[in-house]
Formats: sequence, structure tokens, C-alpha cells
Amino acid sequence: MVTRKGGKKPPSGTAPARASSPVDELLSAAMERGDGSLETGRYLVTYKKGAAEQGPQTLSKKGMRVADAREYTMQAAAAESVGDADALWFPEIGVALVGGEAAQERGMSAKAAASDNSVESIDPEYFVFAQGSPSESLPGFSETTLENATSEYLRGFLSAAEAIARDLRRDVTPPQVEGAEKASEADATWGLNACRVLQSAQSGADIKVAVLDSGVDMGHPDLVGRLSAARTQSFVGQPVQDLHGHGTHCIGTACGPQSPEESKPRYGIGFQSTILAGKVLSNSGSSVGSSVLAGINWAIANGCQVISMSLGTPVGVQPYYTAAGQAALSRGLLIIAAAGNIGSNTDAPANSPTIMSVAWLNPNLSPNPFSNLGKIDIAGPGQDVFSTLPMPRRYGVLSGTSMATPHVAGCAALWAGSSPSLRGPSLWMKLQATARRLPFPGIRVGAGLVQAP
Amino acid sequence: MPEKKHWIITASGDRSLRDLKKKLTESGFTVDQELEEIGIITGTADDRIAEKVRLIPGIADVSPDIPVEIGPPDAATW
Repeated sequence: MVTRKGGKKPPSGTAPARASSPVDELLSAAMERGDGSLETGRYLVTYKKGAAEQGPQTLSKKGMRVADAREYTMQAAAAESVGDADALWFPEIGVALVGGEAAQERGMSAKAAASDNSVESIDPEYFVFAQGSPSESLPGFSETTLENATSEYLRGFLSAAEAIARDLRRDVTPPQVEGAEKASEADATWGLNACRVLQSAQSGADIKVAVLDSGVDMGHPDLVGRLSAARTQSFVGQPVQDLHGHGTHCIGTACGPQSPEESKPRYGIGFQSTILAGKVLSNSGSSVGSSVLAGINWAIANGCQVISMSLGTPVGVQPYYTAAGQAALSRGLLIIAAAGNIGSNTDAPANSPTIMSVAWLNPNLSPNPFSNLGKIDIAGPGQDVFSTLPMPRRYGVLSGTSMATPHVAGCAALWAGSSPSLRGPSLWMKLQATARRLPFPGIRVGAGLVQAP
Repeated sequence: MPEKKHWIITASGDRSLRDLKKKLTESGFTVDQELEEIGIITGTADDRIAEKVRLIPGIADVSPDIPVEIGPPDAATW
């Protein structure tokens, strides 16, 4: 635990950072401050092992109103819901979240922590982000100052928060149909139309598709009947329930229903496939290679035919991924992975010769400039992809090779369902042989745009 | 005490993982996962031990574990 050092004044924005302040309010205050700090203005007080039980009492003695996470079902306490409390106590981890004003009024600081026998440290709380935005890879970005970069980052994060807040406020309305041409496409997303999924007689029945990602929203109305505890597994020490959204979105594309609720366009491909959801990415969207390997091992042991992996690391070919891909192919299983989105060389594991690498296409069927290149085997729709997001968001639009990959995985499930001879290496060859050729080099789009049978 | 790191060990396939696990443990390598289906063992050890276990017959590769992230840097994803 790093203890706050020095006499830097805690951030004092326009709005006080209360224990219950919503994240977007904290972000707005941080942007107004414009000091490049990623501090939220609140503090985290960590109690020493054994002294943790004294936490709430010591805070109460200082005159604070303390909310206890145990007051909430399954301890699912959200800071926003603590009302006018000055602090929120997390008994399982022996940490209290304290509002900025409440802490300052009582002189709580790293120094004060040293004089309190029960306290391990007092640290500023920081914003946490899942993944950088494309602007990070834009030319010239490296020349911007850290302060600008931070401010850009906060702005991007805030607009995402606002978009989600908007979605929460309105009951997601049906997409506006503009003109007759689009009306004919309203039955399905542009991605499914491009892959000619609606024309296919296949459903992916009897095919098991493992999506190794950030888990899944177990209660999503479009997926709920097709998920079971037996076919979900976490490899990152967190429940499978997807608090990130990325995994739920990918599963929707690969395996979503034939007729979604609320008259939405069809966005899912293998609508009768069996879904296996392996959580190999944490709720912050990050992980390590060994968790990914554990997920692959699980999918093979469970007799899957297709694995979809929208994840990666910008490094060279890793021998263990190549070995895992080889083991999968020899067991009749095809691993499909995202090439990555920094406009550079294909990420691992997609760069392994035994793993199918997917590039990201725009609706005009040209490769997106951010889509990685080099070792590319096939391409899929990746721009503005409509699919499931965890409730209450329900649906949302995301872009990237992450979204192109489950399009290929879904089509692979349809092909695998069309013939028991299409497994592993033969499934790989079929997908490439039937892909729609595109006027771009193979290092950008591989064999071309994936097509349903 | 030398710093321990996470490693991914790929078996060559001509020796059982159980045998390899035994040899690795004897060498001071702490095994976390035995991934039978893909012939991979993961675990922790310091650099010196990791270098040493490379020479064990039946081990094809010893690589450091790496951080993995979501492919798309998409501002709408968080």
C-alpha cells in the first residue's frame, strides 16, 4: 500500500467529493480542476489486519455518519446509494471510503494515519479505466502533455458515462429508420447482413461456442434461457457476472437470439448454439496469459467446437498460445482471436499460426485503419456493432476487432452445424474458402469477409 | 530473496504433465495450474529456477506470463 507523501493539497473542486458522489460528478470536478490529477478527491482508509473491526467505531467517534456494506444485499454496496453518509465501510477488505470534505475537516491524512494504531494507511482514491481510447494511437498524441492527456482521458470517460446515463434514463427506443433502403436492413444489423446470416438455413444447433472474455450478464433477457451455471466459469477470482460489458456484447453477436426482444434487429448469429461463458478478463477488462490458457483448457475439456477470444497483448508470437491452438485444432476445435486495434502488428494470441486472426471492417467493407495487420486470416464487421450489454443498459453499440471476432465465431458455429466434417482445420479452411473477397491486401483483410453457409 | 515471477511452461508432448510437474516441483518451481488438454503448466519461480527448468527433458518452452487486455481501445467500452 502506497502512502500519500508530501504536503500536496488534496483536490478541491467546485463540488465536494462526497462518499456518495456519482462517478460522472467526480469526473466533471476533476476536469474543471484541470491539474492532470487522476485523484477523485475522496480517500481510502485501510485498517491494519486484526484492527479492521474497529474501523466503523473509530470513524463514528470522529463524528462521521458511517454506512456499512453489510446493510446491502450480498454486500453489493454502491457508493452512490449511501446518501448523506460521510463514509462507506467495506468489512470484507477492512477499508473505508471517506468523502473529501469529511476527511479534511477531521485532519485525516497520511501523517495522521501514522499516529493511529489501527490504520495502515490513508490514500487518495483514483479513477480506474478499462481500456484506452483510439486517440491514444493517433499520431502526435505522444507530444501532448500529461495534463492534456489526462484531461482527454477524463473527457472520453465522461462522455461514455453520459451516454450510459442517457440510456438508463430513457427506455431504449427502437432505432430510427431513415429511408426505404435502410428499412429493408432493419431486420438485422449491418454486420449480419454483410455476412449473409439471414439467408442461412443454419442455426448452430449442437455446436458449443466458448466465449472467453469478461463474463456474461446471467440475467440478460435475450440470453437468460441459454445460460447455466454449469456452462460458465471464472478464471480471474471474480463472479462470472459481467460488470464490464465487453463479454456480454461479444456473446450477443456470436450466439444472440433469432428474434430479440422489443422488436430489435437481429444481431446474434448462432441462435441455437450452446453458450459457454469463460471469464478470463476481470471486470476492469484486463488479465494475464495463464487465465486465458486456463479458459482454453476448460473449453476443450467441455467439448467445444469454437472458441471466440476478443483479447490480446501487443507482443510477438507466444509459444504457449501456438501450442494451445495446436491442441485445440487436433481436438476438432477452432480458436478465433481478435487481431487488435492499434494499427500495428497482430497481437498475441491471434498472431500464432494455429489461431485464426480477425481484422475489423467498416460498413463500406474496408478495413478500419486501427485494425492490426500482418498475420490476418479473415475479416468481420467490427464498426458500430449493435449487441447486448449488461442490464439495465440492455443493448449498445461498440467497435473494434473485438466485435469482428464473434461475427467470425458465430459464422463458424453455423458452418460447424452444417456438417460434422467441418471441425478444427477443415472448419478453418471452409471459412477462408467461402469468405467474400475484398480489394485489399491479405495482410489487411486475410481471405476476406466471413460468410454464413 | 530473488523476486518470484509467473511463468508459462509448454510441454513438448513426449512426457506426461504429471512427470513434468514432479520434476518442476523438485527444482523449486511452484506449480499453479496443470492444463492437461493443452499440455501447459503455469506457476511461479525466480529467474534462476526458470532458467534451470528449461533444461528438463520434455519441456519445449518457458516464457514469462504477460498481461492481456481487451482488443478494442473503444471509448464506449468501460
